[in-house]
Amino acid sequence: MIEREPLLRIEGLKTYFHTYEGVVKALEGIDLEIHKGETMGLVGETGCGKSVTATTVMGLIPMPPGKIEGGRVFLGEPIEVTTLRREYDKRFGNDGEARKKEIGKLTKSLDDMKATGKGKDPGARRLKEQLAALEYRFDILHKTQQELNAIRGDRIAMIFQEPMTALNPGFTIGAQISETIQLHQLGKIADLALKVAETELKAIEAGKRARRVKSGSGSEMCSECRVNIREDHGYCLSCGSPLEGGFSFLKPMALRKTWLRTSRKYYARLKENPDNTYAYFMERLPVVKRLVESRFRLAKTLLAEDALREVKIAEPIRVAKSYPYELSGGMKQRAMIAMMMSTQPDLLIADEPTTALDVTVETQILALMRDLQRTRNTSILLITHDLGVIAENCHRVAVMYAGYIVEMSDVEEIFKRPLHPYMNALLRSIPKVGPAFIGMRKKPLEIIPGVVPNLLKPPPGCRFHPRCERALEKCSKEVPPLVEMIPGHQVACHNPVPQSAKEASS
Amino acid sequence: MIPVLFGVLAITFLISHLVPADPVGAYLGKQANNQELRQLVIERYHFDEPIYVQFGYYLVDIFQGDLGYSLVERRDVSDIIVEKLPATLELVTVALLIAIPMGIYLGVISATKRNKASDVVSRLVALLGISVPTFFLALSLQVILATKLGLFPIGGRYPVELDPPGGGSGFYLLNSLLALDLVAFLTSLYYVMLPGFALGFSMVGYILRMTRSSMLEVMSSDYVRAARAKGVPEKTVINKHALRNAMGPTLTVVGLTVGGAITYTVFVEEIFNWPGIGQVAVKWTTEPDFAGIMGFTILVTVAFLVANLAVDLLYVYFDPQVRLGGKGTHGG
Amino acid sequence: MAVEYPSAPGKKSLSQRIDDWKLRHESFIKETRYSLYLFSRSFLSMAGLILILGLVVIAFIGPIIATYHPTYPGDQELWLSDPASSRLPPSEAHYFGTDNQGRDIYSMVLYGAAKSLFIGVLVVIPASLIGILLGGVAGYYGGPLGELLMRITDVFLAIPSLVLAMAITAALGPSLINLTYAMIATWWPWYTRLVFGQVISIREKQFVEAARSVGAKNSRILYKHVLKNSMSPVVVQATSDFGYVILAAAALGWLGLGAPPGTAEWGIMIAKNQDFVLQAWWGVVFPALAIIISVLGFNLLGDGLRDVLDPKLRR
Repeated sequence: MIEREPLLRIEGLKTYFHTYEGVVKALEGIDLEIHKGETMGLVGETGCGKSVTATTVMGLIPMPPGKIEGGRVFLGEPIEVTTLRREYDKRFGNDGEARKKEIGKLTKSLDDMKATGKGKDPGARRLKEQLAALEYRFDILHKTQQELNAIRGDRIAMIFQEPMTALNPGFTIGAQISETIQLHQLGKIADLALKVAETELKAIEAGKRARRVKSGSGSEMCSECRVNIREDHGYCLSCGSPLEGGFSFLKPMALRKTWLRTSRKYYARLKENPDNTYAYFMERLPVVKRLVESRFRLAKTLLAEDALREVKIAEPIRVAKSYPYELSGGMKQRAMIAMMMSTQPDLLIADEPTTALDVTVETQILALMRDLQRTRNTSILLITHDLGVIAENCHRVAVMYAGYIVEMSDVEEIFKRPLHPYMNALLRSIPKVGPAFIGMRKKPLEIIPGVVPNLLKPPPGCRFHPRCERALEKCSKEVPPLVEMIPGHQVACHNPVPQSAKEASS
Repeated sequence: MIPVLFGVLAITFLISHLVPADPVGAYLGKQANNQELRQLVIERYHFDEPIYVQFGYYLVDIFQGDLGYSLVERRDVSDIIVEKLPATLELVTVALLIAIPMGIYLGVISATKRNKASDVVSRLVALLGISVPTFFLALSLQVILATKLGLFPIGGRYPVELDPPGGGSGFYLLNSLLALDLVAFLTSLYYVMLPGFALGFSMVGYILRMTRSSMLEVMSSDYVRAARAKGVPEKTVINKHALRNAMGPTLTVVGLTVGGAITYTVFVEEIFNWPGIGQVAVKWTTEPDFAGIMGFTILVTVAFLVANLAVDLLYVYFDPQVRLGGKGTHGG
Repeated sequence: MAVEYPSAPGKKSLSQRIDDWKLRHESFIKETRYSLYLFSRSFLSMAGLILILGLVVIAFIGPIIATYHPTYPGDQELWLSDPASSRLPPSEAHYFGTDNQGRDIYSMVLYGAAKSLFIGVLVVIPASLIGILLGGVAGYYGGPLGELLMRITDVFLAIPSLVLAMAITAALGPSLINLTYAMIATWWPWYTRLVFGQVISIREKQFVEAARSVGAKNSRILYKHVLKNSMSPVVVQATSDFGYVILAAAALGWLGLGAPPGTAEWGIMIAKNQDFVLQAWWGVVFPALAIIISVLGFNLLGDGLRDVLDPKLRR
């Protein structure tokens, strides 16, 4: 179920783009919270800033025109640290000097504690939390490129709108998936390679030998263990016995044994310490690489096929060997999901994942995502402009307009009681069909007059006010803050839609 | 390729037989007025027959390997070519080995480090490479580095006093390697360095610019963004994900620059006294010697076509769609 | 936002007509202004523009600011030799020094500018026009004629350009005019191929289908829609080609295929003076600099135009 523990916290995110024509204020101080295991929808018209939010969080904003003008994004910050941090933020605000002094004090206290051997003291833990709070240790916006690269793909993953263009046409699907796994979970590959090597070694030492036998369905089987074998290898994967025939570079058994033993040592080392510099070098020496690579590559392929199976692609073995242009749109999107989810990330950002797909495929993909979330407890940030998708797939939703979040609440709540005039008007503009609405048939469809503002010269105050039917004098002067008007339901409006009227007309 | 070759032969035929006002005289050059010679030439090359018959004889001659007789050199053109071609090929190969890696490397740098110092320098190098006349560049290099500073030999392919590395191929570098003669190898290298660099520098510019523009396009593509989103370190993004897909247009340009190289080699050989086919070609154009010029033109064209064919074959490696044939089998 | 309408039909004054034209082409004018702005922001492009303007100016006023002048017996340009002042270094009397025969380098370079520029124009304009015509017809109408045209183009493209020019010039006899003809024959295929490709891709676009569905005649479509939209790569290529043609002309001149020795042409000057380059470097360096600056200028200009006109690199 949904835990109320927050996974991602965005505070005051501001992104501007400095272009020839001026400064495009794409995001103006976004505050957003995504909890563990929940699907948060981010909805809005084109150009309202939803994609920019996602790319900023990932650190993928092209920095020459773009610039993150402010704000912080906290990933996996424990609640204790958050409360502390907010205290300190209130205390120090923008004062860098005071902050630095306080950090110095805490570090010193920590060092003293370590020196006196009081490491496990709850006092030390509290000090560490305070340090983390002050140093913004969970802030991913200000991490180095290397740290960011470790987070991207491993803890936060992102899938894009156009699967056709997001997959590299020059590599097979399997290669792209296993690349992700190799980057972040090298140990897993090494482990599998180790197991394969060991099984094979045991079988050879036991003197087992197998033949290729045709099974009932016509595919090839191992004569020892009666399991379907893959055609391209010289041994059976489940019992390890070497097979006759087939191409195998090291036919003499003795040679094979030595080779397997060396590989085994290497894989064990790798599994223990994936970040080992020794492994790093070994990987790069072409000769050594060739020698130990074969089972390693097999492990990579197997894991890639597993990832494809998870996204319910038929024939994962064939798909893993294919190139992107050989697949259909829906399959490509599944492949991309497989690629990004292969490392079990904590957060999946889906930027309009189904906009480019047929409606039938869309349903399947969304069902797949719901499934994955259930089984792995992943959080999803689902960005879309389709309210229907939001209604069916999200727990909570945030509505964006022209760089601001204007409303945020549970999905059911917001559809029943849209407080912001924008959301209200959006819901009203949906044409209603059915016998209950016969009387409304002659009325003209409702629209929201006007157009989305130009973010170069946005309207002052609340950016929606030129199109808002409930606009007050105040709205053109002051930007409304995002406040919680009903528990669990936040709105940024000076003059929100009153509840009673809404309930009457729904 | 065959029809193109045919067309090229048609053009060379037209140029040598139809364009000049007096083809026989043009062929004879300085001895145009010698009546005896004129008669011989008319009989030998069938100038008294109708045009299409002449063309027929022309084609037959070519296919038998007879590219004509050079009056200047007093030898068959084909013999001259066979003798001098390896030297030119060696020079062009060295130049390509310099130009291609340098061009691609600098092109990638220029695309990925926009507007930083390395980018500006690379673009300047490219601009100079394409704007400076090859002969001036070769001349300057020779004067400054060889004559004045004495760092390199002024010209020639091998010291006159010594015996050049013999062997089957006619390529000094290869021969000396095969004979395991390090001294000869280094000497040959020493002599080929300067002209090779001069020739290479005129090609670097085009390769650099094409790599740069191709990389710029690829780096802003979606799959590069997706790779970054996967957490791939930037260096790998550039060298593995982007470069592979950017190589296509660069490859085409490389094919084209080979054609340019064959042309520029004429200038470089002339200045560095490199005994290749280009040096002879200069003599042929200034004398003029018709058989030689036409033979040279045909040779150069064939070389160009072969280079482009090689490029087409290399494409197979870079574009999997070409490899597996056809556009996308939609497997459902 | 108030919308403007063109004035009512009927007789109009000149100022009204101008206003109407401006209104009809409003977006085009805006785009052009933006293009010019982008162009002016690039230092290198502006530098190229200035260099080329300088070249043009010199080509025209060269004879006026030159300190020495050739004589013209018959039609030939002849620079008199003055053995006494041979190989003099740059000085007050001779800004760029003198060559082996005592001729003033400075003046010869200036006169050479006009020649080079005119060769450039005389080659690029006809070649591009031929290319546009042939490429446009081949691409738009297609069919066997198109096939044939492209085959011929391919054949010409298979021969490296300089070599082809060498062959043709040798056949015609070395002179600047023949050199120009030879280069036109060498250069036209590039434009044909370029325009052909552009036309092919544009004619499949939907706005052409739209125009045809309204009943526009083929030739009208070809001209108004297709060709106009194919022009930008041609313009970019032509600009850079001015430079390459000057380079090629100099190269051919250096080989001896151009003007007779003693004429003021940059390539020939370098060829004649290079034997004495150690004693009199000015004879080689100044003409070479002239070539480099001209070619560089055109390349910068061409690059700038390409960056400005390429829709992908805008904004």
